[in-house]
Amino acid sequence: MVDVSALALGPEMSRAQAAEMRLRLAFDHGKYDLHLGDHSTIAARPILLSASEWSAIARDSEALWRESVELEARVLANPRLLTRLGLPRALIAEVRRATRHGHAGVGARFVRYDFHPTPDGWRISEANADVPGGFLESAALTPLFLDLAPGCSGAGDPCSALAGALAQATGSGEHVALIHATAYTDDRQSMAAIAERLEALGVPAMLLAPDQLRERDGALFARLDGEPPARIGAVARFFPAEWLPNLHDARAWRPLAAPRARCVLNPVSAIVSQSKRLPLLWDEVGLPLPTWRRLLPETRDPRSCAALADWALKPALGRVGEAVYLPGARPIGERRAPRLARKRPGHWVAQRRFDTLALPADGGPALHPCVGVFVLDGRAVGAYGRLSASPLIDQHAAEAAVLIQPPAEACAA
Amino acid sequence: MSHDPRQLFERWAPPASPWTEWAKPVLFALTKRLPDPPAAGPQPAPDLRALSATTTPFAVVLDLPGTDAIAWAAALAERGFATVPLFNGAPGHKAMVNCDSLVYALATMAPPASPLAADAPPCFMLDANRMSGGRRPSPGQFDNRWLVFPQDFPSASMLLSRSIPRVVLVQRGPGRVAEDLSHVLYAWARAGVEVLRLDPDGAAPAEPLHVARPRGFRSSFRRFLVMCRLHRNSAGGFGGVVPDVSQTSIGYA
Repeated sequence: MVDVSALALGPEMSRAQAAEMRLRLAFDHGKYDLHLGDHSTIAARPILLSASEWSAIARDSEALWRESVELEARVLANPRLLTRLGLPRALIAEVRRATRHGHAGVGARFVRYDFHPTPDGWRISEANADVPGGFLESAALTPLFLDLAPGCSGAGDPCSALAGALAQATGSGEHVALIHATAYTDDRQSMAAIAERLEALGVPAMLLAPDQLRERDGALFARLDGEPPARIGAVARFFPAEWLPNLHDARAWRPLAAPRARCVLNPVSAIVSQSKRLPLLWDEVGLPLPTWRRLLPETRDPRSCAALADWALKPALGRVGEAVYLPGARPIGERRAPRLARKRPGHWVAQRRFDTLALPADGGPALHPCVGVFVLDGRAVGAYGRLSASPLIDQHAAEAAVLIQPPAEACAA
Repeated sequence: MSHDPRQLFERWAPPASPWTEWAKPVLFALTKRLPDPPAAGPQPAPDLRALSATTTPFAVVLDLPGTDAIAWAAALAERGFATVPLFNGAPGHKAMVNCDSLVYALATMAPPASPLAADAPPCFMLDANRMSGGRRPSPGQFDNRWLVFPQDFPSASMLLSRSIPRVVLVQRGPGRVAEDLSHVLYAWARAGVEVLRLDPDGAAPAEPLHVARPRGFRSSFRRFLVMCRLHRNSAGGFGGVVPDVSQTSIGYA
């Protein structure tokens, strides 16, 4: 059971404070996607978590990370299982190739687990194991809201943690490659935030498209206009693995599937943990996975659900709630999902629907919170909040700061 | 001339403006110093007489080559319009879309910091060269082309709720409406906003514009496809340098 008193919405910013926050986000933190249609992408109030509740979900996230590492290694060791995860064929081939050559090891990992409060306790809806986003927003929003919430603290700075891990793996004279879809403003700004932190650490970074990496003599290189080839020591990939096969030249992204850099966050094999069909293999890999089994709702192949009433439909590789369908008296989400899932069931999953708690907001509708916990190499390093008027957390949800409240005895003192 | 990116942004998107939330800060935030003046002389003041014939409150969409859009926006600001810069490309060395002239014009033509009426109509500023005239990036170029999407603008219901039933598109010549903008205008027209077009070089008043349903209208997949097109040749769109394969000693593995 989630202690509801340990989870609340903080006070709403005034209009003037919100305007100032937007300017500071853009001009001090490099976040530019601040408005979508008629709505702000940033919530004007933070999510407040008690210190004990934060400790609990941070601990659970670290346990999920450890179990995922074991689980992924088992699946990679049995390539037959890869075909059941709803992955593109070209990607399966590259992951298999990398595994055969011993390059698809689990290694360093950066993952975000999304926690939803329910009447029966916290539940996670999925792991963002391939290219977890929100670290820029987490790092930027927390200090801005802390100014208005005396006594609270942040859950950590995932952006700096990520930059620190990449810097540590980068040798003298080497660069960090920050791979992303350069045409996307929100991807570019996330990578630029990492580049800025790396620069502060004295480590040069290059903002690159996925096919700008080159491999020679077992080492990775990249180059920009007019510059000599730059040796790459570490890579951050912010380009979804399932998009890689869409690139013009398959050879161009191979270095990301079988990387020679010492640190790649995350390697392409992370797509195994990203697939929402992975729970369908739990019983075959012979691992207990107690934390996953406790926190993730029952998951099935959609073909095994006679009726959809209690089941949410999700694409195996959907992101940011896209194409998710929640049935009910007033269905939510992508109405075409049942038809698409019937057509290609091997690329979909049915997850038992759960009710989420909505937090009352003074003067406005109650909002459904979601707290994403970032885990880097087994350690919780920050939190990313989202607030939605609907139980579905998708691209329409507002990004929110997550602040940790001091223990009651500390307040009393 | 000193250059304060935030201060300049606030001149074009004043915090008190009812439309400021739609303004894009990217170009302002990423310009750290004021560029040199362009070779061309000062921008002539636009002639707004043709626009004066348009009655009832209306919004303006300026889809003109960069500095022209800025000159028009500055003139409209004098008439009480709330300027909304939507320039969404990053400046860079050897850029496909010239941002220097834009930034210089923004700095030299910025509206004075004066109070804005609560019901000031919006004037959305676009650069008609945002796709670099359809040119493809060449090796070594900084591909900073950009597009607009319906979610970059207020919805029709938002415009109507603020008593703005008309939108005037200011676009040079009789050519077609830019493909990306047609998605915005079609959505507005379909929801009951009247769309007019004005040629800034002519004396004729704004005339009704029929916007045909664009291909892929409301398709979420369209966004992915168009961005992929920008992303072709390895890099592109929002700031990326096309790799110079011909000069590299690395080659393809």
